[in-house]
Amino acid sequence: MSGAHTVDHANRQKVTLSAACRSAIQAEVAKYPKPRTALLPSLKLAQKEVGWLPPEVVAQVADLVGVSHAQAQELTTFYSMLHTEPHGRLHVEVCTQVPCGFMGGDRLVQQLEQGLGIAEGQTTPDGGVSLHKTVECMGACHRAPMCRVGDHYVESVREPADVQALCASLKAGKVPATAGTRNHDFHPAPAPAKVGASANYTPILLRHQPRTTQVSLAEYRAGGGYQALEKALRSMTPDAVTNVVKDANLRGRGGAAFSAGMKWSFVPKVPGPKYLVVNADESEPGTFKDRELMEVESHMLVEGMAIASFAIGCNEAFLYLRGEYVEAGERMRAAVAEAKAAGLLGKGVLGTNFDLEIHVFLGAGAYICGEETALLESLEGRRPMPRSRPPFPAVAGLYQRPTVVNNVETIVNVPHIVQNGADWYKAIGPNPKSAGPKIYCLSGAVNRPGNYELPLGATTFRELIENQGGGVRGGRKIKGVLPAGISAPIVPADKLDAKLDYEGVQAAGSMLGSASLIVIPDDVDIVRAATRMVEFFRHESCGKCTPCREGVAWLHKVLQRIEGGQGKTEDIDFLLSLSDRIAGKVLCALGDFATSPVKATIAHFRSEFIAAITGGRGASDDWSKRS
Amino acid sequence: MSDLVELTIDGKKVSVPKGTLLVEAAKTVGIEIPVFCYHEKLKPVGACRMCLVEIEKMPRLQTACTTPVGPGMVVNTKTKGAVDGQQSVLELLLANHPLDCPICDKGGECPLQDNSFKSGGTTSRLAEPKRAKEKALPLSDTIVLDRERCILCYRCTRFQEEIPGDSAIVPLERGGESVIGTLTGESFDSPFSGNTVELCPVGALTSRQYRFRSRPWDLQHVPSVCSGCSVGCNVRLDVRDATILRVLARENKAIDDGWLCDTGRYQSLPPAITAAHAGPEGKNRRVRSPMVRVNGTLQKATFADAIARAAALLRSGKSAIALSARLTDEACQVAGAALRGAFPNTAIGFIEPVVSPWPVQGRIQNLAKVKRIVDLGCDPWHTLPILALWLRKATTAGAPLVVVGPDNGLWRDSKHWLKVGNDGLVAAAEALAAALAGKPATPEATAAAAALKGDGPAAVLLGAPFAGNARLRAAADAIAQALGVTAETGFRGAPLRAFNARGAANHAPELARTDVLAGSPQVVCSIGCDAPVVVPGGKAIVVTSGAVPDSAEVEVVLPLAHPYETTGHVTNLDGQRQALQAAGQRPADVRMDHELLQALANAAAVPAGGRA
Ligand SMILES: Cc1cc2nc3c(=O)[nH]c(=O)nc-3n(C[C@H](O)[C@H](O)[C@H](O)COP(=O)(O)O)c2cc1C
Ligand code: SF4
Ligand code: SF4
Ligand code: SF4
Ligand code: FES
Ligand code: FES
Repeated sequence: MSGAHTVDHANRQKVTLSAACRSAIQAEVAKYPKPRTALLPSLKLAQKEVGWLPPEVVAQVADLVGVSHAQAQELTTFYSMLHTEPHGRLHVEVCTQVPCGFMGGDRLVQQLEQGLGIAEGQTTPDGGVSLHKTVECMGACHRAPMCRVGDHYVESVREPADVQALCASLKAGKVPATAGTRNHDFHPAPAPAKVGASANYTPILLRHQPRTTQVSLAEYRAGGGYQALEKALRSMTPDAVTNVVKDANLRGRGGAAFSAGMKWSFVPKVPGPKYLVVNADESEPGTFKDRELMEVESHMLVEGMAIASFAIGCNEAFLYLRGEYVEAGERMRAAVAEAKAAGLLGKGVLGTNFDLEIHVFLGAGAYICGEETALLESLEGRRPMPRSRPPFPAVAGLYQRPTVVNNVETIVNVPHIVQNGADWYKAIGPNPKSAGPKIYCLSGAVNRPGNYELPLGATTFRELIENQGGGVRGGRKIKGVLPAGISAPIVPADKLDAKLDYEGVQAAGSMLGSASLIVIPDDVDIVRAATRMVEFFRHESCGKCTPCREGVAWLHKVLQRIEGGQGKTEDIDFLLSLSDRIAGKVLCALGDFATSPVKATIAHFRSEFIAAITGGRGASDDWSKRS
Repeated sequence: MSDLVELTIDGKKVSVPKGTLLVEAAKTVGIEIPVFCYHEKLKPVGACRMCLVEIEKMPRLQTACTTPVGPGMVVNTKTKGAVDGQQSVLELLLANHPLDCPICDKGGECPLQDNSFKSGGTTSRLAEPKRAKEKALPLSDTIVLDRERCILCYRCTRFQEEIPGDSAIVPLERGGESVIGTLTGESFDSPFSGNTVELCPVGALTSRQYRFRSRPWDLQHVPSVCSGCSVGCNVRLDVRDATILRVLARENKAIDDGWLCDTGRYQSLPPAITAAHAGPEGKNRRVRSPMVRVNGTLQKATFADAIARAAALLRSGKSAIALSARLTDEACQVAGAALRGAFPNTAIGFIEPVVSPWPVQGRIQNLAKVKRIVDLGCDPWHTLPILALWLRKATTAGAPLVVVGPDNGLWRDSKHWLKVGNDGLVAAAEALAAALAGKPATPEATAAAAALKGDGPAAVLLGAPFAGNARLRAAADAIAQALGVTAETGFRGAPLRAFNARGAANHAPELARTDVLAGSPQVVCSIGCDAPVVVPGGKAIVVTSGAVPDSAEVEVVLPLAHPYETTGHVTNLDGQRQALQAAGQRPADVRMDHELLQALANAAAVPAGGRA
């Protein structure tokens, strides 16, 4: 997206794309069912070569893909990873969303400002480094604070020595090679003791934890991998596969918890292409489970996609990853290539007459692409604005063809269900209505943040935080826990004995959603937290519908004023009434999500808002409570 | 009928065809649900949320513009919940909307203004400063955008994407920063851009021609027909103080489907209007009074003197009367009868062809439903723009379009484009005809012919400038025959571009084939011609609604009413006769075409030098 217009386009040397880049773009165009799908990947290829996307380059890409120049600019200005202005050779982006912000992200910004001698938003005079803070979570919350340097994650920049090492390497023009870079060969250590719900449970999905390197095809097969695919292809009909998934009550792990088997059964049995699209956009703050699944258990996902495709009659499947997941994308591409070479994908899978191609497709920085219809628009090379329903994707999805969209975690359950049966699956966990393994992303102020796989409903908030998370950092008290990233209402400290399944969290007044638990300690300023969370939604609102586009920006303005010490008493009720003008009136759930940090924090911590307004507080850059 | 659906809206029983949207169903019982983004000619998007209604058994408010009717549905548009929804949206729309109404072109015809009044004038509670965006941003030579006024209904961008399909403007940025625009440094270039100004529900997109020129309540509306070309799109002329200020679409479902092209909208006005807006070089030079050359200079004259002088000149030697094919049916009748009789020794005929060498058969609206299309050098996008939009209805429904020729504005929608220069047209058309007949042909032609396999109605268009070539016509015939084109369901022909070519051929058939200048006339009277004929060393009589050529040969000038200032009839390319109604006020000496021709014929009856 563009910032202030500082480029002197008139006196700038115009850029022509190299022949290599042009042919790479032509290869993209040839790759997909429709050329326009190649628009986003092509813009990224061009940006990789040029460093940013000046208008003449956007025009060249548009011509190669066969869209209007304006259409290419539409995407260029929408996605935050596409740049209409040049930046430093190393582009540093520090995550300041909740939880990173209060876990040291804001502090890291200041430290880097000092270390690099530039203000946030600026580039060093030699053009070497530019420094930005983002409100987008990057799926590394368990390794907060973190930043991205170009495509590379630099995680757990906690200690002064980490910061110094980072600065030194940036100044030297190098992507840091310190611990916590993209190959993050570490995991919550020491591994938590097997207590509580985990005592008698062996993870099914994240079965190689704490490993962070990718499981190879050979390893995966040695552990029984791809047997479920064999079984499905050789001894089951597509309907039988759908039925076992339906019988297992596998509920979607992307947030809405809709029965996966049911969704597959809605796909009409019409001739012509049908698509499986796996949602790996994972941009909800506090969520990093799909990342670990893709980086480590890549083949489990490939196998799950193959089985699901067989069930719905799909021969061309898409895996849509958020643009920041470069590492996961590379590993998934490698796994797909490996599987294809072994005859597990491609023409005639395992010697049957079932064909399947899998496209690994990366976005470019937009939370809304996690919403399934916006994701489809993004895949079609269009501005990713959610579609109004009906029609539903099962009837008219990608390219207006029948399409199933499922989350990564949903899909990795499939091979296990097919292999072991519905009854086996329903017996995992105490609640057969919501059964199966569930990955809880635990972040924020706990001693051992990370992904923890447990049977759904086998544990409570408190147990998870204590047993797996190793308790709250610094022995502090908990103010509340956000159970579904920042999108669902905060669960206050007195409700932490609620069971972690869909029904249990709902009874506690919130939603399990993607099960991304962010633990907020008692010393975090809730007004600041609410402001930061609403800023996220303001930044990520696609702008399609009025209540969200206008209303969320308005909420943020008021919150910013309160946070800056300029609040008025009537602001609190105004925020609530404004939230009501948004919620339930918007096109997609993002607008509803945006109101929950406001409504729930006011409901539970009104006194803190009042104190922020009446306490004569001034602007501060400290996350701790100030009044 | 079995596919009627019954439901209840605000307590009224409604019965409408399956698939009808709630907004439309409500209209059938007189219930207006407020809308901004919805437009019946564009796909529903559910963006603005203005049309929120309550539907029993549904947990949330629903948008009436995207929800199809369901059997037994109980819909409420005026309950507390629905009204709260609509008012919420309105308040939020106004949160950042500038308070420009008094200076806004849309003031008085603005749905945002109207809806705010209706809902009791929601006052904005926004204590924070409003968001600033660019105001008066020129998007092109003809269109200006006020980004603060834009309510992001995406009508303009949906139009460009769905109707012409060129996506010449798009939404940029995202969230609250979203704006409408183009690639940095490029302008809004589309032959159909003006439609977006009409579609814009607020005063965000405005026409530079009309900007600040009037308030809606001061305008008089006159129905007429666009004089830009022979498609015959229906227009509404907006007139203020005798001046035609703007041309708007007036939907005719058989001809224009509610759209106009920019040539028609912006360039078909008489110069008195456009010149004032065309910058210094377009200085208003429209002639307003009759003139005759006296002592070497053109001087004002009475109408009677000028017409008498013209008649005398025409009878003085080898002379010709060159008629424009823009004259009305009535004028053509006078030309073919009274004028012909009055000047027996004068060559009279049209300056441009009025009989197509490959006449049009079939109706324009058939184009929407054809299943296969071949265009041989016609390129309607550039020559008869609205026809291209009809063709797009067919191509978006899947009809293959094969284009043969150098230019192809429908390149996005073409299945095959056999790109050849004008000189390669015949060979390429013959190759295609051969391929369709199953004979060996070039690989391109064979591939194109394969795409045209199938049945159902079809269309073949031929470029009129090339239709004189008999081999090309033969190829076109063969192609039309291979595709099974019929006039009832399809379309074939080489449509002539001139406004009333078909009417001229119908009403003055005996003048239709005259090569009017063949006899090297010394005196030429040009009537309504775009470029009046001036024979070097000869004498020119110029009857025009434009400027006078700056040349010593011009002896007489007679101002002519523009088609928009004329009452009469014209016949469009598919043969539909439509009425023109004079708009604005002409000075008394600016005559309508048929009056002027009659006066000229009458003057011929008066002996030279005598008085009538
Ligand atoms: C704003 C928004 C963001 C979302 N982000 C994601 C996401 O990152 N990953 C995901 O799987 N689902 C996300 N969803 C839910 C998807 O729309 C969809 O329900 C899900 O991918 C379906 O998969 P499942 O049935 O397997 O859960 C999001 C929904 C909304 C409204
Ligand atoms: S609710 Fe927000 S994100 Fe969703 S469609 Fe509306 S503007 Fe876009
Ligand atoms: S410019 Fe007008 S038509 Fe276009 S989006 Fe804005 S308000 Fe709608
Ligand atoms: S297509 Fe022809 S008649 Fe229609 S608006 Fe354009 S110029 Fe006028
Ligand atoms: S990576 Fe910073 S909040 Fe998730
Ligand atoms: S009119 Fe229905 S959402 Fe805009």
